[in-house]
Parts: sequence; C-alpha cells; structure tokens
Amino acid sequence: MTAADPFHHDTPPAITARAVRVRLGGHEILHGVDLDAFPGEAVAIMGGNGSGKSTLVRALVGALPVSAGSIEVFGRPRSRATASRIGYVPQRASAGGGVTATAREVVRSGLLGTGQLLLPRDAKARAMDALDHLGVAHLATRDVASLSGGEQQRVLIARALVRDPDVLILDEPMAGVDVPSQEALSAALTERRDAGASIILVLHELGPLAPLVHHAVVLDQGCVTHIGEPPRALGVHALPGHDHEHAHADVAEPEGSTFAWEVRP
Amino acid sequence: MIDLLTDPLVQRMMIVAILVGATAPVVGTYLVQRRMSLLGDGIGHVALAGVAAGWLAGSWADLAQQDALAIPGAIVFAIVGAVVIERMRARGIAAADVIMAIMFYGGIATGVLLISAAGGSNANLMGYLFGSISTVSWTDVWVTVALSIAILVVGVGLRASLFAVTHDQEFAHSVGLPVGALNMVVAVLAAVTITASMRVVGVLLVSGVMILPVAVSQIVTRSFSRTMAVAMGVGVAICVAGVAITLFHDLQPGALIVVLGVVLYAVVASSAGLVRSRRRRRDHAVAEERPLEPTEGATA
Repeated sequence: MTAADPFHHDTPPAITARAVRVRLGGHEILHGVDLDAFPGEAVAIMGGNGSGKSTLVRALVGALPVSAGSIEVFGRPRSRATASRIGYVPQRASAGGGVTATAREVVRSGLLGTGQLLLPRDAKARAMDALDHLGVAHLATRDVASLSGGEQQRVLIARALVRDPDVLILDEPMAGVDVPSQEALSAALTERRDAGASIILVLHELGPLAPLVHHAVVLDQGCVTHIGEPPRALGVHALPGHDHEHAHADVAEPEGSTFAWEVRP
Repeated sequence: MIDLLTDPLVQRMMIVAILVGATAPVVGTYLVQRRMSLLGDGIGHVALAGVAAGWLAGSWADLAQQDALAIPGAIVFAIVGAVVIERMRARGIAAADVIMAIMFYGGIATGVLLISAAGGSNANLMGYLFGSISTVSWTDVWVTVALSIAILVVGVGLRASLFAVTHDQEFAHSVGLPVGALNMVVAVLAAVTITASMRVVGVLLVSGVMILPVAVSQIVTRSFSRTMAVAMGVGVAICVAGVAITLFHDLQPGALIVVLGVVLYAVVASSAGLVRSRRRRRDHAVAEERPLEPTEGATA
C-alpha cells in the first residue's frame, strides 16, 4: 500500500498525486503534496484561504503545470488522453465571458475533449438529460449569467456529469448556493459516488456535504498537515448560523485556521 | 438601378461588402467573448506596418506597381503580430491593454517610418487606413472569397470548441481540449479577417465591423450561437447599406459603414431599454392592483 493510503484499499486509486509542487509567478504554492482518491469514495481537500486547495485541484485537472512530482489517473500519467475520465467543476467565478450563453450551450461544451473538437450528434439530448438530472432542465435556454448562484452551480455540475466521468473534481461547490440547490447537488454527488465514481471536493467547511465525505486532506500553506477523518468544526464555528466571513473581529483564533485541525502524527 | 447592379465595379464592391460583413462578426464574437474587443485594432495597426514594409520591399525590388506587395506584407505582419500578442497574453508577460497600446503605437510609427524610407508619403497609407473599396479589382475579390471561406470553415465549423475555450479556459484544459492551439486559432483568424476587411473599411475602422454587429446582436439574443448568427446578418446589412449609399452620395464607405453600425446600436439599445422599462412599469401596475396575498407556509 502507498504511504498516503491509511485506509488499506483493495482497488487501485483513481487519482494519485505524489510530491506535487506547483509554482505560480515565481512563488512555490504547493510544496510536495500527496493525495489518493479511490473509486466509490469522496475526499475533501480542506484548509484556510491561501492554503493551496484550488491550486492543487487545478494541477490535478491540468489547468496548471506541475513543476515537480507526479499525477496519475488510473495508473497512467495525467495527460490530455486521461482527461476523458475526469469531470471538473471550477469555482463559479472562473467561468463566463463577454457574450451571453445558454445553460444548454454551456453543458454541451462538456462533451468536447481530446480528439473531439466537434459536438457529437446527440449533444443536445445528452445536455438536456444532464440538466434534467440536476433538476434544471427548465433553465436550458436561459442565459447562464442571469441564473442564481445555485442554479449556475447546478449547470456547471451538469456540464461535468454529461461527460459521464469516473472522477469528479469540484472546487467549492457549495459557495453561494441556496438550500434547494445544495440538496440537489448533494443528492447528485451521493448517487455518483455510490455508482463507483471517485469524488474530490475542495471545501472550506463540510457543511451539508458531511455525510458524503469519507476522509479529508488538510492543507496549510501548501503542505499536507492531516490525512484521515474529516476534521469537525469546533467552538463558535460549529454553532448553527455562525457567520465565518465576519466573525474575526470579535473572536481570537489561531492564525489562518477556521478549524481545530488534528495534526498528523 | 438595374444599370448600377450590372456595373462590374458595383458587383465587385457588393461581393466584397457581403463577404466582409458576414465574416468579420464571426471573429468579433470570440473577441467580445474573451473581452478582447480591441485585439482587432492592435493587429490592424501592425498590418499597417506590413503594408508599408510591402511597399518598401516593392521599391527595393523595383516593381512597376509599388504597392503590389502591400497586401501580402499586411497578411504576414498581421499573422505574426497576432501570434506575438497571443503569446504575450498567454504567458502573462504584460496586461492585455498594455500589449494593445504597444501594438497601436508601434504599428503606426513603424508604418510611417517604412513608408518614408520607401520614398512614399503618408498619403499613400490613407487608402489602407480608411479603406478604398472603390478601387477593388477581381483579384481582390478572389482573395477575399478565399480568405472568407477559410474564416467561415474554421470560425463557424469549430465554434463549439472555440466557445468552450473562450468561455471557460480552466474547464477547457480539464477536458483535454488543445487550449493553446485554439487560442492561437482565434488570434490568426482575427489577423486573416483584418487583412480581408482592410480594403473595405481600412485598418483604423476594421474593428468596428468585427465588434459593432456583435454589440447590436447581444442586445437581442441570449445564446452564443444566435449572437454569432444575428451579428453576421447585421454585419452584411450595414456593409451592403454603407456601400449602396455611397453609390448615390459621395461619402467615404468605410466610415459610413461604421457610423451605420453605431447608429444601429444606439437605436436597438435604446428601444430595448424602452421595452424593458415599459414592461417593468406594467408589472408594477399589475402588482399594485393585486396586492400579494400571503402564501401558505410563508413566515413573517
């Protein structure tokens, strides 16, 4: 078994990252990160702002170059050829341009990929199925920019799921998402995981996805500080209705941390 | 009127106007999508330096027609300029607006220097700065036809992939699309479009034909494909109308086409605004007539 697999799996991992280093603008953001994600499991990548969570998933999907280390997808080095097995849901803010596009057009683009520069004939029907699965088929011809945060997130998840991926990677999927959308997303992800997909989630806190997540990888300043049981929120941060954004004025806490992390022995 | 339509020069002008009107907004849609509406201007200014370089080469080679190499020079410079701009942008060497500024000033200044070195005057550049559709030859028409076919095949044929890359680059990377190559396709398409449109509107106004139809179209459409299709229609309409009007009135066609585009934008934008505010007023009136009833399960 690999060093980063404390759970003794029988199946080989869907994604393996070893000693991954990423440099951005002359600064090293990730200092040798290990990660394993297995089929039928959900892994949460957690940590404070600036800990390197999003950088790690961008490297996993190939949107950022890796300066050292290796990333394997089902035992093969990550490349454009392995991309067909991955469905990626970036942070909502990264999407969008100067021209409006409908939800269906956005979802359809999930059918493209390596060697697939043109849409398949059944693109429209498959996009509608994916939208329907997330409960937003009625928004198919709406301009995505005019949708609510939760609706946009459902459209982006439909775009990832339309590829029928074996690995689903989501960056802060619950940020700015209303409660009905949270429930729809949680149900779709759970169904996907139970069908054997491997799910990697960047999360600021577990929140409504707590039942989905098997284990967590906690990052702090570009290093892994914990692998194992998802850390539970402690103190005032665990209180219902606690405002994480604006709480720092009156609560003293350790620098850069919202949770009391268990530190890996 | 019939006489005019059978006139070979009018036929040539109309063919070129239709082709430029239909193709320029195709590339314009991707540039607006990527929020790089000024890319066309940057490449256009570099193309002007190419015109002057072609002129200089022509005078060195002692060609009978000094400007025979002007258009080939423009094509080469525009493509090289587009590739350099895209490289600088992709590698984050400078911000997009700074890159554009360098291209604007560098292109114009190099053009003026080269044309004076070739023994020409800035007046020789005027036809390229503002267009000279009334001097279009059958050779020009065939060149425009070839360039237009290339733009339509690539720009419309690959629109799903080009949309994916310009809409969400990070996602395009994740699915394995060749993002760098597709970005380069957009830049080279822009360069080809600019050299094809140069005869009609000139390098200073070429971006107008690329961007204005998209700006008009965006007001009335929601989908990316529809925006591109309507923009192509608007492009053809303003180019044909502009050229047609200059058959009867002594006006500069390139400038007229762009002014028609701006006027059309103003009319469509203000009508859309009127429709919206009238609809809002009507909804407001309906709401006041029928106050909201508390629905089941609503809490105070």
